[in-house]
Amino acid sequence: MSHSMRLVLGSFKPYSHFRPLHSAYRLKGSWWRLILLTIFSFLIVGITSFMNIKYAGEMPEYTGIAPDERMLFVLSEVITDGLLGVLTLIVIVVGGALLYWPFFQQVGFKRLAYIHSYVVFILLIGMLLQLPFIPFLHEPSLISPYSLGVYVDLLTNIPFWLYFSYSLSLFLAWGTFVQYAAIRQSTTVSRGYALFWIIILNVFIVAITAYMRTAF
Amino acid sequence: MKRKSLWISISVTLVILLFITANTLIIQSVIAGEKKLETVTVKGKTYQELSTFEGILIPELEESYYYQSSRGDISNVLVKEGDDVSIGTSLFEYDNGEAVNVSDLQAQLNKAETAVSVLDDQLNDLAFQSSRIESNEDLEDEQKLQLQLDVEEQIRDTEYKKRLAELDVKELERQIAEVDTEQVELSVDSTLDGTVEQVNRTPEDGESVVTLLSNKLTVQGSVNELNYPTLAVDQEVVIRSGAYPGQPARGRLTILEDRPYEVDEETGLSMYHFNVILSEESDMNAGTHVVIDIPLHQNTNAPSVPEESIIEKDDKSYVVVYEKDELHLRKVEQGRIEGGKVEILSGLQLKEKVLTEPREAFTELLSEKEEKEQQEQDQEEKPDIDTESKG
Repeated sequence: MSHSMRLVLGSFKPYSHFRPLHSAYRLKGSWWRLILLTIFSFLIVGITSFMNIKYAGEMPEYTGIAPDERMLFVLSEVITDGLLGVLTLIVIVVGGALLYWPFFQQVGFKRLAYIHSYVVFILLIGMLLQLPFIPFLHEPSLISPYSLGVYVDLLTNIPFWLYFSYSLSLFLAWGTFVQYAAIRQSTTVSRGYALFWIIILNVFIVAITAYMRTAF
Repeated sequence: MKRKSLWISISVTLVILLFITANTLIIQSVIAGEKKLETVTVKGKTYQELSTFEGILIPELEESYYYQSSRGDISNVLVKEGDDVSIGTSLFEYDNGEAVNVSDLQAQLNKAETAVSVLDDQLNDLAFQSSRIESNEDLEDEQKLQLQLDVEEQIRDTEYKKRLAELDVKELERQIAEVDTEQVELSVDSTLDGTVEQVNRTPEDGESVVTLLSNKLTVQGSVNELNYPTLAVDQEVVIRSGAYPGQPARGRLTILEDRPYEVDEETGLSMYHFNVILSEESDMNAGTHVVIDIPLHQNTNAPSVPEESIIEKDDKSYVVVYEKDELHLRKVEQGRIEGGKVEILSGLQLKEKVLTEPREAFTELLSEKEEKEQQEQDQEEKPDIDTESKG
């Protein structure tokens, strides 16, 4: 029996979609979808970077460059950020699977990577839906109306807590839900165990990411 | 069941929409703010390397007043050790064997002045008598003439006496003045404000009678032959003392001796004295051991920028200058780094604005542009050279 990667279906109907995953010996359609995800990551992160510079003043230097040099500057930024987006995708899929593996060995590394591809897809949807808000609010993509960071931003200016809280978005919650549904369908672990470790590991990933963004 | 899940879906969607709307409004009204370029103005800073020497506070001057037997014996030493003296204070006096009594001279002077005054009155009386004789109509002309001649003779006689008395006054005044002068020369006065260090009441000819130390202090430092060339007269220095923490005093190097006072036994190096005069009032007392900080290689008011503003690429240093709403990459020469600030030796002026922390990507772009311009410039120059060589 095989399981076919259907990102949209799996994201919206995770329980029914991932039910056969446990017994599936072959995962179909993963590679070309992963390539597609990589291309989307590059494009969406690149476009976000462009809009951050163009509309949100994320790089104030942009205004100080002569008009004929702006394109070169923006392109270099967009390409760099796009490549970073691809790297992030790989880290989420591979790194996430590695991190989850010790806690959900029954699922297996390959299936965990497979599940994390859906999380990447959901996070990309989040980035895509964030795009209209960049020119509308004139704020960079970090300042997301989909996240809890808005309320933390009112209380503190500490960069770590801002990066951390702005990552706690509706899409992270959605991704967590999909992870939970997929893992629950693939193992016999208890509901509490699965929920506890998925939330803890996701919060840990978010904290580590926030720390790295603050430190470097 | 389907209805229930529909309601749940609608409710969840509404809550999510409400959450997004509220967040958008908060961002728009509270969080959103203008992003500005973070620039820093180039400020002047003094960069220096401190060379430290040890020293001690000593009185600036030591003055000795010597006995000269040719001026006579010392009659009186007027000060004792530890006394405070000021400029003009008499220290000791010579004895005058032929002392003239000034009071006698003064009495004689008074007498002579009185005589002059009396003779003056007599002259007035005689003048009055002469006028009365002239105006008296009861007298015959011959009588008048006789009387006038008598009065005139008396006037001449009195005027002569008056002149003699006046000469006496002048002579006595001269004598009194001479005595005063002699008295002044007999006394030896202090030429500085200070304290009596030593008194010798029975000196031989040429020995000091009184030794004074000035109140004004100087710092005597020592430098070895290796550091000697780093010092120069008129260098500004800072004096610090453990006994007066947090109260540094400024000073100026005034004397740099060119002969060593000793050879250090441990190092075998010649040691030289140098003096520093304090430029400001200080609470430090004579005998206080101090540390003398002498700034070397001083660069005052040098353009200075934060370390983060400097971009280093291929052994070259750059800053991003912000002028007339545009950014330019500019090559600079770095000097010393102190407290996170970099001394700029060339390429930047005071009051210019530079980016506080230029982004890597941005600086890459600017440096690429500069390289491109340089290449273009080289290519433009190259054909010219080729043409010249062919010619």
